Parts: sequence; structure tokens; C-alpha cells
Amino acid sequence: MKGITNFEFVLSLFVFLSTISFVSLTIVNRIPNLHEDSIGDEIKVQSFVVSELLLFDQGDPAQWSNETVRRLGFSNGTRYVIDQKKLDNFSIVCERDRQALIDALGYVIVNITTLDDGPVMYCKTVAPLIEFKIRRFAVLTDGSSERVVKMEVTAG
Amino acid sequence: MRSKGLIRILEAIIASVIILTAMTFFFTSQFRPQVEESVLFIQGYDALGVLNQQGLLEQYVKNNDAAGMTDQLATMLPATTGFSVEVVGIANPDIYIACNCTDAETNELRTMLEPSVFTYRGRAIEIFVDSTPLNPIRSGTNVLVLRDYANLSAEWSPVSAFLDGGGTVFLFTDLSEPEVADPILNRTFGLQWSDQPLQHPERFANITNPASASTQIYRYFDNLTPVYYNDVTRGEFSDFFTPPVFYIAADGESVISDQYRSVATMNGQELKPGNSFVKGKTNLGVTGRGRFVWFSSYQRLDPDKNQTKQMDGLFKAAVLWASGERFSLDAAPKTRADQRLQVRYLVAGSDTFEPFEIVLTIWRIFF
Repeated sequence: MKGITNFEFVLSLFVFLSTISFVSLTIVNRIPNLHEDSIGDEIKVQSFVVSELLLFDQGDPAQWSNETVRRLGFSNGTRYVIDQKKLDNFSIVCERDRQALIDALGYVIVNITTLDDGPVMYCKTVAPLIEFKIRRFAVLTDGSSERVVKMEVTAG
Repeated sequence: MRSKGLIRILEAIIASVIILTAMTFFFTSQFRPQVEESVLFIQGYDALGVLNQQGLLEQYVKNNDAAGMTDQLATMLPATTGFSVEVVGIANPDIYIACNCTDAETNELRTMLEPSVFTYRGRAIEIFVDSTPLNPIRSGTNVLVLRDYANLSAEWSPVSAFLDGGGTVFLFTDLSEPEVADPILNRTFGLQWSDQPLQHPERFANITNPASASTQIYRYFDNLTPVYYNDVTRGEFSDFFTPPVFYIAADGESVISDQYRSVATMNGQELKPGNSFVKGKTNLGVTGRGRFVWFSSYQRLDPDKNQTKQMDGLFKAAVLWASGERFSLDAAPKTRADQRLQVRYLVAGSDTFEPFEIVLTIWRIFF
């Protein structure tokens, strides 16, 4: 009887340790994936927020230039309409003060093209390792003419 | 003995921990935000927003330019997606009426709806009238007109399928009390016999609630019917079939009704519903679509008389509403995938154009 009891104890201990090990290892293996998902979600949110800001916000002051800008935004005040002058000023900020741009928007690439991919404006703060691209549409105006453009914001 | 009991408790706790941990592992929520779908939705909404900003949505709808709309959206949506466009909230540009009636009655319908090609607030609309059996109902029909009371129970299957597909049953006849007791007319289409004596004149039941058929048909009537100088009877309809005492009870679905009766009560005045002469009901099919119109018969003694023109205008207005106010703006018929998302965009009206809604359905071609 004593021998059988010992065998039961060993068996139950084995089952117990196996289960605990399996569950622990599985949870531990999941952690990197969850972490990666979390970073990915953060990047997706960032690209969406930046695209919303640039597309629908006029910026501060409303008629900002590369010297007076406090907050970036391409809108001319009408929904879905962006201002060519603000794009020109954004390009200057992108070339001259990249760090300020990173501080304001994060690590992003803003690429504005015509619908048939003709270049309009391109700004790259840094080459991201993990990236997420969101595509928006807008009407670009220079005061006298209008055309539909697409704006791709890649965050990383 | 005491230490044995403690070990048992310890065992139970350890077993509970193992079970709970395993349960947490196996039943973890698999919910993940549908980012790709959200991005596609945003892209579709932006595309419609930009086209609206440029006035193109109104232009495409005004000209019924399905090819233009399709070409433009194809340049804006990803190449790996299919899409389909529907316009909701305004009368269909082509209205196909199928009448389950005699040739003479079909011809009379055509006469009442003349001109069959006309411009309504900047849009060309054409009405086609043909005859049809009840089973099967002519393919492509928007409005099924019945000129007499018909026992629809026997043919309910095709009629029900027709309603589910967004069709409208248009009953154009006067009714008696036993006919109104018909289960389909009574329960499905909501016609009830009134216990209130008639009190003329007949007018629009409601012209301020956009959700009601009465207000929508009034809108069509007001835009369709010319205003005659010093016409004090505009909006009053006196040529309907006149029943002896009672008729169909007025309720929230009444389009034309006689005046509500005021009945003295101890607390003051109580409003009692009167009688209906036109009714409109929506959301009949299981798909949430499908409409029903009951229009009491009326006299057309003199087509040149203002009253007859008003009645014909009212009839045409009811037909425009009965068209379903929902039509496709696709260049070619499309089969939608089961997994799809819908973008709804409301286009504001103007002095020359009515507000409408664009429903853009998008699906991925490759999964």
C-alpha cells in the first residue's frame, strides 16, 4: 500500500508540474506578441491622429507660416479643403527644422500626390522600422484652382 | 490528523488556481480591433466627402451618371476592393409600375401619370407602366399596383418576396368594412375600420414630420403641382370616393385624412382621429424595406379641372414616394461579397436640389 501511495504522489506531482509549466510557458511566449501588437496599435493611432490633424485643422495661427507656426494643420477652414501655401510652409519646416516636426507629429512620413500619383509634397522625418500607412483624400486649393489629392501619412 | 486536513485545503487551493489559470488561457477574448476595415471605411468616407465638396455627388445623382461615379470612386478606393453605390431618400429616376389590372385600367394609370417623362427639381424622372400577374410579379418592378381589393393571402409568397426586395404594394381602390377585415390588409398593412363619422375636407395629415409618409408625399406634391392664383382649395382634396358614414381610421400612417374631431370631455378638448383617404407604411419586409400605399379611388370627371389636376398631382406624388426612394448608381450590376462594410454619407440639399444619402458598400475582392 505504501509503495502505491508513493507512485500516486509522484504521478500527481508530475501532472501538476507539467500543467504549471505549460501554462507559464504559453503566457511567457505570448508576452512579446502582445507587446508588438501594442506598439503596432500605437503606430496606427498615431498615423490616424496626425492625418486628422493635418487634414481638418487650420493650425495655429490660422494663417501660419514656417516662422509663426505654433500648431500644424493644412485646412483652409472648409472641411476637406487644404491650402497650397500651408503645404509649401510645411515643406520648409520639414527641411529646416526636422526635430521640431518630430516633436510635434512624431516619426512620420507625409506624402501628398495627385490621384494619378503625381508628386505634390513629400516630407520624411525618419525612416521607420515598423510602419503603418493611412490614406486620406482632400481638395487642394491655391486660391484660384482646385484639384483632388491623396495624402498618405505613414507613422513609425 | 490536523496537518492532513491542512494539506487537503492546500491541495484544493492549488487545484483551483490550476483550473482558473487554464480557463483564463483557453477562454481569452479573441477580439482584435478591425483596423483594416476602419481604414477602408475612412478612405470611403473621405472619398465621398471630397466628391461632395467639389459638388460632384450632386452632379452624378442629378444626371444619373453611374459611369462617372464609378470611374471616380475607382481611382480613389484600393484596387483590391469592389464597391457599389446606392442613392437613398429621393425618388428613383426610372420608376417601373406593374399593374395587376385590365388593359383599360393600365391605360387609365398612364393617363393619370402624364407626362411620364418630367423634370423634378433638376432631375429627369421617367415612369413606365405595364401590366403584370401576381405570380410571378414582373421582374424589375418598383411599384405593384392593385386596382381592386385582392385576397393577397393566396399569393402572399411572391408579394412578400417583392416587399423584401424593396418593392411597394400600391392598393388603389376604395374599400368596404369586410375587405378591411382581411388579415393582410388589417394586420400587415395596418388598415382599420373607423368609428368616427366623416368630416370634410380632406387634407394632408402631417406636413412637418420628415419621418412620415404624409410629409414626404406633401413635399413631392408641393413641387409637382402648379399653384393657381387665388386658389384657396390648394391642398384640399374633395374628389375622393365618399363612403356613406365611416371609412378607414386615421392614424400616424395617414397621408390624407379628414379633420380630427374635437370631442368635449370633462377635462376640456380631446382630439379623436378621423378617417383616412391615403395611407403610407414603411419597413414591411423582413429586410426592413418594402412599402405599402393605400390610395382611395377618386373621380376624374374633368381632367382640366383644378381639383382633378390636384388629385392627379397627389397620385403622382404618392407614386414618387412609392418608388422606394432607393436606387443603384452602379455602372454595371454587381454581386456583393458577404463580408462588406457600408459608408453612409448625407448630402445637404439646396434651393435646386433635395437632400439625399449616398450608401457606399465596399468589400475586399481577396480575403
